[in-house]
Amino acid sequence: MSLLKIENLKVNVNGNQILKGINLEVNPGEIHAIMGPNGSGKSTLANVLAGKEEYTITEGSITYLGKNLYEMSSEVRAREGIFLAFQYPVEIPGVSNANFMRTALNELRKYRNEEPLDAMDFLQLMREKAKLVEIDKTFLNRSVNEGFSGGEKKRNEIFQMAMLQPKLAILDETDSGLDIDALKIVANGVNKLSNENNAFVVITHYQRLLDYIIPDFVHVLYKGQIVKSGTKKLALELEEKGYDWIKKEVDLQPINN
Amino acid sequence: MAGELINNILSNFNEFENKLNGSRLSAVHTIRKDAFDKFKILGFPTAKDEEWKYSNPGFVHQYNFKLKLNANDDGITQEIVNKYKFENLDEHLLVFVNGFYSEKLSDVKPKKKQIILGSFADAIERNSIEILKYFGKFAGYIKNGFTALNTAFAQDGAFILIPDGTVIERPIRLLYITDAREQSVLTMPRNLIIAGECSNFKIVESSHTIGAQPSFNNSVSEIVMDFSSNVEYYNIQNNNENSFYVGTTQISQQRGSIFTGTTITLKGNYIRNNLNSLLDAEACETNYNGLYFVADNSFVDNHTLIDHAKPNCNSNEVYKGILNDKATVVFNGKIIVRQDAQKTNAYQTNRNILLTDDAKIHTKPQLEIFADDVKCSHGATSGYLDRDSLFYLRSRGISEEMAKTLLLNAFASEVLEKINIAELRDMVKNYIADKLIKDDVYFCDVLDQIKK
Ligand SMILES: Nc1ncnc2c1ncn2[C@@H]1O[C@H](COP(=O)(O)OP(=O)(O)O)[C@@H](O)[C@H]1O
Ligand SMILES: [Mg+2]
Repeated sequence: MSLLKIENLKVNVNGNQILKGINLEVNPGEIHAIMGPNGSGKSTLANVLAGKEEYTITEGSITYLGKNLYEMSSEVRAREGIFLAFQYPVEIPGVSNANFMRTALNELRKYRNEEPLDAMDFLQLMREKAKLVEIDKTFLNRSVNEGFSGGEKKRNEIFQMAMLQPKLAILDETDSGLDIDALKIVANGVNKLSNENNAFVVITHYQRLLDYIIPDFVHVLYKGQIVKSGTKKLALELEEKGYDWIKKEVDLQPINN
Repeated sequence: MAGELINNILSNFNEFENKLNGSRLSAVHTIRKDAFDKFKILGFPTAKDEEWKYSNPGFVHQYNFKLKLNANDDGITQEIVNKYKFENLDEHLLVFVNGFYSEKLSDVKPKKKQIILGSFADAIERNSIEILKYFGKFAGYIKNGFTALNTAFAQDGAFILIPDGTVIERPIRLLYITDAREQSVLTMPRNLIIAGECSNFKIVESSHTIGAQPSFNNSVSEIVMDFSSNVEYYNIQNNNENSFYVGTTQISQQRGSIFTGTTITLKGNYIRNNLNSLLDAEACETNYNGLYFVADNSFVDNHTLIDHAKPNCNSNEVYKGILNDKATVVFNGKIIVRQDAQKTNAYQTNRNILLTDDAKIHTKPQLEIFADDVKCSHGATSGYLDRDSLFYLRSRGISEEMAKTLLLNAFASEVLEKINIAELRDMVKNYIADKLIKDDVYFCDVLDQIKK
């Protein structure tokens, strides 16, 4: 059974059609990369998968672990193993990272009929995962993302991912704005987590990240559709030639809405 | 029905005077009579008064409140009192029943003879010099009908005198119980709190009504602070849906003193808090912290006034509120910086989160600045919970209720963290948690917990 199956997905935001018939299948153990110019609908797709409410799905289906994803609230999706590393993580003053993660983890455990983690075990786990993404211990006491640099916010996303151990992780431009060291840390976090039971959808603008996270498939999303799919070679080709040749190819054909 | 309370009050005053006999000629009674004359002219405020525009106290005409003129604590048991104690909090407990001090129910244990934790009535009886010096001198009754009425009937309440250099660790609890089991009741406690030079103490006040009849507590407190004294004053408002409250607290500060007033409002039908400080000496500090978390049809009005009359003083005011259901809230924060009051720092913020479309907020900062070398700022915001923050939390598996709880606690924490009495802080946090979610909540910071 596939982990995720998206069929002919069409999505509106404020009356504008943003996604115009997406098809994508992701199996356990796979890493998919989604590339494409700004404004193509990559974040929209990611947010729809995570259950953000202001999107209207007008057509198509999303099946996750054999179940209809539409019927799950965003918190249930998370508890069922979907994780989105946000392109722009929000700052939440007054809620500490520790309290946030403990609440999230215990909600997850409750869902699975497990006992809550006691404080010591929890702290131990936090320290271990913080080390993985090389964030300072003091960060645990700070408010979620408040006053964090762009890079720190992105590492915090990977930290949360490591804490929650999702089955399907979607990384929305986690690499943007990172220097090469931070990029390696993020990639390392993903690679440590990756196994035959989980899958990653890595949305990126540049092929750079894909030197460190090797994808099994690369898709190009443009104007709300996946216009090309291939292997890692496609990413290299895009790096070399840019998006223009794809844009030209697509813009010459009428799009079936 | 309308006007019934006023008529009763007029005859109450005769009854009251008859009962006084000899002490009718006392200096205290001269002030009472003066205040009564003022009340007869003023009556109760209406929405036509600018200061009461959004807080029309129409309830005074709606119910036939009976003013209690005599002390009687017969119907109040220790069990009733215990219900209102804060868990695990060791406090000096002063209990008042219908505004009158109850020795039977109180539990005070001052270490020194000079410390007075007692009743206003006793202080009058003793001809206490402080009563003569301070009673009615700070809480102005010329413009405010409620204060005039309280002053006219000032009989009992708390009399707290903390001598020079005395530090009191245990909070001093003023617990007002109104017995409205049989009829609707008006109580008018009158408090005088005197902080000696370099004294340091905390007061926690709360009113509770037992019984289902309407109750109205019209309370006035005068707090007189000597050089370098430090007073923390907490007013915790969590009464029933048939309770009405108008409380006026007037603080007078001497050089180097620090006053911190914290008003936490959780429940009640109508609540009007007048909190006023006069900074008539240099190097004073005044902090006002407020948190209101109200629901149903509750009405809350926080009217504050910080009057900077002398140079080099600081004031800092933070009021935050969460409004649910059809709650209505008024915040009116007035800061005056007089011409003399150079080098004043005065900051004020009022922030509100509305959980429904039916909740209403009227917020009005008023800065009147007559000095030129000052730093003043104010800011007021009201809005709904941030959708993106909610989504972020939920996308990590946190339920909607829990996510709201986390965000609201984060919002309230700025004020909650300023409560220096841990038991009190926990009580308020748990109250908010219980209201929002029936489930377990992990409020206390994990790291705090581990330290224990
Ligand atoms: N909440 C929204 N309201 C209106 N338009 C939106 C909203 N979110 C996205 N869009 C529009 O949808 C298109 C795709 O955006 P997005 O999914 O963020 O693209 P990408 O992530 O590929 O850069 C853009 O034209 C953007 O303006
Ligand atoms: Mg994007």
